[in-house]
Amino acid sequence: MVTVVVGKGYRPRVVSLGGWAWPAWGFVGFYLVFAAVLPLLILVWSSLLPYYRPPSLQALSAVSLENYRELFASPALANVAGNTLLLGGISSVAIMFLAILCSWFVYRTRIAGRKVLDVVVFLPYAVSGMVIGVAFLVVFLSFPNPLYNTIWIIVLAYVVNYLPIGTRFTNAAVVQVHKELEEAAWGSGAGFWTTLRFVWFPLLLPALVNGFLFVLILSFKVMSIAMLLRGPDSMVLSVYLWHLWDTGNPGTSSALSVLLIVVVTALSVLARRLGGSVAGGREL
Amino acid sequence: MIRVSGLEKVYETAERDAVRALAGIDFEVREGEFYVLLGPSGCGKSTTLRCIAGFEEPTGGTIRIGDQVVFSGADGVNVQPARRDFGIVFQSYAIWPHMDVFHNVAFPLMHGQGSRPPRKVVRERVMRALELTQLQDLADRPAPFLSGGQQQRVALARALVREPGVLLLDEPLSNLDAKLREEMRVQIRDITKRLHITSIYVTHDQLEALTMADRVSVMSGGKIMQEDSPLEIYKHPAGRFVAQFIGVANLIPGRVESVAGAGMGRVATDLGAFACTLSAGLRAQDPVSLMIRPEDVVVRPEGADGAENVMRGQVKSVVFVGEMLDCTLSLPGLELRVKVHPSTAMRVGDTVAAHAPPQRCHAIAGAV
Repeated sequence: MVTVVVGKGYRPRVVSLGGWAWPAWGFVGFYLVFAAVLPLLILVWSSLLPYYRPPSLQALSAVSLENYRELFASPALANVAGNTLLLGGISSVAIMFLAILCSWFVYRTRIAGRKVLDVVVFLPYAVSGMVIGVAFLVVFLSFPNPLYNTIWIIVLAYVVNYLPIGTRFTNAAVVQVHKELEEAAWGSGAGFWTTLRFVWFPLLLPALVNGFLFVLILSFKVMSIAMLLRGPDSMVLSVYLWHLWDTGNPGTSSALSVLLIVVVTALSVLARRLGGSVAGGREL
Repeated sequence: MIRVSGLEKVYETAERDAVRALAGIDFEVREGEFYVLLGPSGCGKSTTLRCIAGFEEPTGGTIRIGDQVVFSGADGVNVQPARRDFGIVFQSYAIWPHMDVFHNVAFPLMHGQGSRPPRKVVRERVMRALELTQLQDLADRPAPFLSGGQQQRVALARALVREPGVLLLDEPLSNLDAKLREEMRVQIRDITKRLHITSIYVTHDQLEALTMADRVSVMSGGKIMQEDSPLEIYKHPAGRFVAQFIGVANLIPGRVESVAGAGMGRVATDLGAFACTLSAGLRAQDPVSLMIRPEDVVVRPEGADGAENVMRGQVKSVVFVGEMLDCTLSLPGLELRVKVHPSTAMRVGDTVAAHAPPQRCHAIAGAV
């Protein structure tokens, strides 16, 4: 058996499939059509109809943008979209900030208990969001506090729920930054926060931006926690979507779904491009 | 000035017994002195340096940089690295890849302790540091576009820009190629002498230690084995470890026959008696190793005469190395490495007499 241990210069290679190229394409295409394209098309289709009908020529005459008009006319949308951005933005920034501190603490100090921190931070990953939502609900109902029924309780729950994802990004990045790069800063008379700001932050920026977008996307599309913890004024898009469906508006809920897909796809593309260009062009 | 006393570092490990990386290190570096810590990997030289910088916390002892006690195990003092007065150069260069040369060097002025000097002063001092290291033309070059040697010079400029009291260098030349290493050895020593800065230089390379140091400490197993000038260490190693770590040494087991005074004496070996210098404290009948450096042996044709300190044997191998012949002589019971001038007529199989002048033979305590 041969084990190859190399650093630089080991890249994935393109392998020619020869005669298997077309069957491979066929398989991937088949999968894509059933898993992504068809459901998406149906979603778009139903967003254009006042009530759902299977695609047909007669139904085509009923197609209109009425659902989108209704969606944008609703006063709730601006509020809900604002909440979603605020919630996603604040929790993603908070998560990446805590993640970088956690990673530093776990990988760069010898303080007792650092391994425990790593485990504790990662623990929520094993717990369903629904369970975390219920846990927060029970805790914050049991004593008087200003957080309950506001967006901040959701922010808190998001931080707990998504911190494991944030630390996946920062852990991987932190171990790649040579320890002497930060020691050089200390040796230059810089304290912890200065080093964090002027050495760590720029070096870890690709990972931080990537992690930020990843968590932001999750916060847009995942519903369970926001569903359980929302108050009357702290509704977010994913919950609003469910609300529309639940109150008998399949058309507008489809329209909102299509909008969400567009936004999330745009963010994903952005994350990929940033991740690729920034991380790839720099040697740490 | 740096004073290290009773420095200890014990690593507690879960799996094995505690590791004593430093077992009581004492030394003092004088103002403006170039001091080298030399030893094989794992001897504790880097740990010592990292303790002085404050990157590692010692388990005991005291460290003083100038007037400041930066660590004292007894008094519970442990000053943060940022508040210690030193500049440091690492083996990995540790140049920040997201900045250009100018900003790498300006960092200690802009983000170090104390108030930030005005922009003009920063510019002046950075340029002065860059001129010192001959980098003035590369100020705007982004760090990733520098060669290894240039990066190392940037690291040196960055370490010096604050004009610290002490310069710490941790194997700074180990990642450079041989030719560049030779140049940088001279440059680094030159610059530190011109600035009259107190320097500690860590290396495993004896050549760097011998050529650069005012004084050398040879370390092994977390202890200092010998501290002296390069010449003294080379000529009179205190023990077998030092003799074999620095340079090449032939060691011949023997016993002190008589002590003559003025550091001289006679040692009896299986090859006969040798007049030689004696390590301090040796007395008659002590078991010793007689050290003879290969380049100190004078080879003469067989039958010259019966002078003392002569060994007779056969030439076993001759390797031409350019400036010399690296030969092995087969003597009764051992082999002797000998370096002679390339013009010497030496052929494998020749019988020769090898003479080692008494002043160049040195007896070290302890048999081989």
